[in-house]
Amino acid sequence: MALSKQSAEIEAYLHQGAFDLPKQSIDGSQRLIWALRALEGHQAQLRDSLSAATPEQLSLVHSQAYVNGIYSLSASEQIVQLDPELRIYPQSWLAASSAAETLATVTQSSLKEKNQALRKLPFCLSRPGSHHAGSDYGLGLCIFNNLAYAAASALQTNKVNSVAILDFDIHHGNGTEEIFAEEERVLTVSIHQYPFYPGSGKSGSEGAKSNLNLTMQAGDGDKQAREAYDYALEAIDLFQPDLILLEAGVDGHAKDWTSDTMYEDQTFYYFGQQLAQLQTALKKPLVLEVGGGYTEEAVVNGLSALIKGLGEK
Amino acid sequence: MNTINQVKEPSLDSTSFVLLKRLRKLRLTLAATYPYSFRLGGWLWRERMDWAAEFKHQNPEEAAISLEQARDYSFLNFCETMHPKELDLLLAHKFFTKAPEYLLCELQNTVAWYTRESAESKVIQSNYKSQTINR
Repeated sequence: MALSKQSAEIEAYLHQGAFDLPKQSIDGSQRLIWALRALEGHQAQLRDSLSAATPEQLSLVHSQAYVNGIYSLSASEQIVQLDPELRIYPQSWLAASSAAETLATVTQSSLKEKNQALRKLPFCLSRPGSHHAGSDYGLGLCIFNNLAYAAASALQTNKVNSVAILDFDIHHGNGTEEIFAEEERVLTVSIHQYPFYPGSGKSGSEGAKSNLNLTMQAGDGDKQAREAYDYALEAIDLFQPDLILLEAGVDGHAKDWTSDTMYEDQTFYYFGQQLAQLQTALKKPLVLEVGGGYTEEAVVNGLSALIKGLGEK
Repeated sequence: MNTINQVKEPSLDSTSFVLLKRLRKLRLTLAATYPYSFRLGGWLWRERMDWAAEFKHQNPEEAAISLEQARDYSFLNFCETMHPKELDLLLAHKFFTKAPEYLLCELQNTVAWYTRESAESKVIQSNYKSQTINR
């Protein structure tokens, strides 16, 4: 594969609590170490972690009862299970609320930059995950929906009128879709394997006002992924968002054991390249959050290719 | 309150019933494998108030937990232990027949995943055995 030597300048944020959180099933801090390895050789600058969101702030996208419940459980020093994979530990509150606040703060900061072409690409390396968490539930390693919180916080400031959330993690972004089901100012686009975990996201099943589900089948690879991705970017272009948030999951990679799709490194390079071109045309901020990825090869190579692609404007 | 007596006679070819039987054959519980266990628990909490009362009596701390999702998850776990057969009939013939499509789809995914895992594990075991014999 002929990849350009030029790559995007990245400003990576490793949030407070990411390494303190115990391993939850397949979600370990190892993924962040692999993500950091992917940044090696790129123009990446690591920034300190940022502050945590308060329960009141998080209730912007989650029910007060859910947020308060997570807060109380973390304070109680108990370990409580919410689904077969998701446990709440005493460290969970800080880890999850700071992951959400980090993405929101970084997003707000990116909105202040007048010349987006000069801005380094913010990339949040967070843990626990984000896109499966719905308004009143956690699911599949995700406690709070950082993407939804960042989008809603940006809309609340009135600096933006519309947000597009693009999610190519191989699992459906069910929580993001559910949270914005009635919100026309947010376009949610998810490209994922179906049928697959978490069971939702069938193409054409969209209940939300501005939502698009593009499905991949087991065995699908670069060609099918590019077709779906082109369609997704066309939809975003038509939507003309003031802000783009990206859930950068690389678990669709051929080397990732959790999925049955066969994305190659060049698939992720293409994803980055096409998105960078769209962002340049729109002249609007783009903020990235790391998504799924469960083998070293998938995370290091997939993210590295994506970042190289993002440098192609 | 509804009880199993009011549930229509089980149809043995119902998709969810077959899936639940397969899961049980693998000696697995929904609480250990199915991501939406808490949804099942939440439904059962309203549907089987007698089981909920039993749960509250036997597990007062878990029943009073501050987060509904945690309670519902724990309650499903309890129901699977205390009322396994009745639970599967209830779920197959009252819950999954009316539930949103994704809940059944994910049950299929779950059973397929663990069936595959079990088959792979048997292959590994069988390879191990043949290696041991060869040695």
